[in-house]
Amino acid sequence: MELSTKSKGSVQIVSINGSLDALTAPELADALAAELRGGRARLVADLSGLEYTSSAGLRVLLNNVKDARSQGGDLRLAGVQPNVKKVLDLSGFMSIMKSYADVDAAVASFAE
Amino acid sequence: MSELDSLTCRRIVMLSPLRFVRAFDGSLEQLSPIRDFVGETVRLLGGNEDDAFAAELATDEAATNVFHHAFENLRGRITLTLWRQENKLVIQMHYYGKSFDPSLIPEPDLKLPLAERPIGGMGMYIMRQLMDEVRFEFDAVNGNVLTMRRILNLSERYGFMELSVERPAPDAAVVHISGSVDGSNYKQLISQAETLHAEGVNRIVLEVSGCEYMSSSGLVALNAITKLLRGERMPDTEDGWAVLKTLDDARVGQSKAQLALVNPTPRVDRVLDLAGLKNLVPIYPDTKAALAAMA
Repeated sequence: MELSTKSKGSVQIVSINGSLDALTAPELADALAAELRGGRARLVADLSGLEYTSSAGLRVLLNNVKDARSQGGDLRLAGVQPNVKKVLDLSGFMSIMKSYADVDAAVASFAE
Repeated sequence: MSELDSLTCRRIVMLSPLRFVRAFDGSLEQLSPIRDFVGETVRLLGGNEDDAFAAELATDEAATNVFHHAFENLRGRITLTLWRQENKLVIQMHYYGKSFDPSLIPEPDLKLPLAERPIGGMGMYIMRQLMDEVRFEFDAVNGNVLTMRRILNLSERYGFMELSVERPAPDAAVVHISGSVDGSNYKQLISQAETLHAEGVNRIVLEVSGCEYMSSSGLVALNAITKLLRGERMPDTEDGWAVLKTLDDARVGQSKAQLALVNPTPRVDRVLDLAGLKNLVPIYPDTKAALAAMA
C-alpha cells in the first residue's frame, strides 16, 4: 500500500493505493490520526487506486469517521473501486459513509 | 458453447481431484502472498473473478484472526489446502493454536448508528457472508482445522455435468448428477441409463441435489429414461419438446415408478413443475425413501 496526502482548500485528501489489510492498515490509521490531531477534520479518502481492503481497512475507516465527525468534520470516500465497494456494501458501511464518484465531487461536498 | 469453454471445462474436470497445498508463516507479511495463492488456485479450479475475490477475502480474514488470536505472540504456521468437491470450492486452513467458540462471536448489527458500532467482529461476519459454509474443528493434538466451502456456479459458465453411479442392488442404481443438464450433455445422461439398463437395472434414482440447472433437454432425458425403464420404444430425442407429449398419460400412476428424483433444488423443482413432469417422475427427499418406494 502507498499513501500520499495533499490539501485542497480546507480539505485534506489522503490517497490510498494498493491493498489494505491487517499489515498495511496501521499505516493508514497513523496517517489519518495525524490529520485529526492537527485539527484537519475535513478528510477525503481517495480510493481510486485501492484495489482491495479487508475488514482491517474498514476498522480504520470506521474509527476515523467517528473521530472526524466528533471534531465537526467528516471522512468521505471518493472513487471507490468494485472490490472495495463489495466489502463496504457487505459490512453496511455505505450507509454510514458518504461516497462520491471522484475527489473533486468529494471535496466540493464540504462546501455545501 | 464455444470451443474455449469446452476446453476450460475439460481442464476443470481434469483438475478436480487435485489438491493445492501451501504452508505460510504466521505473520502479517504473508497476507498478500496468501491472497495471491488463493486467488490463483480458485481460478485454476474453475472459479470466476467473484469466486476468487470471495476466497481471497475470506481467507485473509480467517488468517488475520488466527495470527492475532490463535497464535498470540508465538510464531505459528498455517497450511492451506484448496480443492474442488464437485461444484464446491473447499478451502481448508490447518494450524496449531488457541481454540475459541465460534458461536460466541456476535453477529455485528449493521443497522446500528455509527456511534454505537463496535469496532471489530467484522472478519467472521464477512467470512460467513462470502462462504456457504464456515466450520471450525479444534484439536489440541492434531491441530485446528477451519473448513470453508463455496458453491461455484460452474454450470452456467461451462455447461458441464458430472455423473457418479452407485449400485445399491443388482436391479437398482443411484445416479448423482451435478452441474447442469442441458442440450450439450443430456444424451450422456440417457446413454448412462441405457448402459445401466443393459446391466439389468430397472430402478434408477437420480439424486439431483447438486444439479443447478435443467433445461428442456434435461426433461427430454427424463422422459426417454422413463420409457427405457418401462421397456417402451425410446423416443427420438432429436424431436425435442414434442417428445414430452408422447408418454401415455393413462399409464402414469398405474405402473410402479421406475425412475425417481431425489432432492431437486428449488430451481430444478420449478422446471419440473412447469413441464408437468412431477406426475410422471416422483420426487423423494432421500435415496433410501425413493428406493423403498420403487421396490
